[in-house]
Amino acid sequence: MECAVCGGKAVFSAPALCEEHFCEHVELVVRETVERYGLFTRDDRVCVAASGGKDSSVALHVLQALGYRVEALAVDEGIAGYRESTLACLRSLCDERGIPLRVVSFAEEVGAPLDDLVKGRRPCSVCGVFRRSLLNKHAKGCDVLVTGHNLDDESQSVLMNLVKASGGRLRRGYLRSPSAEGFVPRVKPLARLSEREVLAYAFLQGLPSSSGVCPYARSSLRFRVRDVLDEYEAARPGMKRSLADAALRVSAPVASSFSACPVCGGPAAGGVCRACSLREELLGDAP
Amino acid sequence: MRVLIEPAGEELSSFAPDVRSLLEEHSLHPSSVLVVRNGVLVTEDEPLLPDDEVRLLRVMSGG
Repeated sequence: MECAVCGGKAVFSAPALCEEHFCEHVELVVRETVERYGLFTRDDRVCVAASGGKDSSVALHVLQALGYRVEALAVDEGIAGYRESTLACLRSLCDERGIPLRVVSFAEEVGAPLDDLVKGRRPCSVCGVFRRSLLNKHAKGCDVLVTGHNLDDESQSVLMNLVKASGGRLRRGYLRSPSAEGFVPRVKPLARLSEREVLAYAFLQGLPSSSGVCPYARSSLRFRVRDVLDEYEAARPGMKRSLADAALRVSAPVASSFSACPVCGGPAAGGVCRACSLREELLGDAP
Repeated sequence: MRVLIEPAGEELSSFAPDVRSLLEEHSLHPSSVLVVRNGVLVTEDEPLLPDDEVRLLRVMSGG
């Protein structure tokens, strides 16, 4: 297969591009997403929620290469046999590229590792509440919080929100979360790239990134939705992009108002925030 | 040829003449993997030789 740009040997088939032009394509898509949707500027302090996996590693690498002021923030949830290896990859990447890295943990901030918090509950729900809270807390002072969500993740979210009849979430903001007092805006500069493109770029750039899979992920709705969408995509290529495009068209982020949580001072929809109330339920005391 | 499926770490052997046949042999859709032949990323139409070492990288998120 020939590169559609130079006629050289292609390393990727959709789009058909050689190594040089494929890497240029990925960087161009990220740059256009950031600029077209006004995600952030070169003057902004850009915090990347990083895990050591391919998505956030590519986000760090590309955004730094494009001249943005990036720093990495990782959450060690306390998942035995999984998170240690991904954080080792992240440390290696940040050391190599001189990217500042902070690691915060559930053990120190919540009071126990995720493995001890699950207690028969859905692990992804427990993890998500504390993860979002810690990322927002420790990204304070930065202008945006980048997450490594790719096109596949976004198409899965669309279908999950439809399955859960969550129209509000569907409209909540696809590439940039709505502004709200106390929240660092979350942005998704990789959301127009497929997961396969992100993996290929990480491979071609030789990025140290972990390919491990969270042991709790298999029990999640997302994992099942992913399998369904992979089947549909194989039968009808372009379906994932169509779903993500649909979300982009209906996206109408509305600014929400939040009050300060009386326990931790973080943003809350009224009264105690979800992270503090869940912590109380699980551990029986206040932070 | 020797074929390694990652990240599962599964190892198998194959006599498939090209990448597309190799994927069909293992019921893998081309969009679900990246194929690395002797350390180089290749497309589905590439021929394969008995001495090649092939890695199939599954496209999946960590969770």
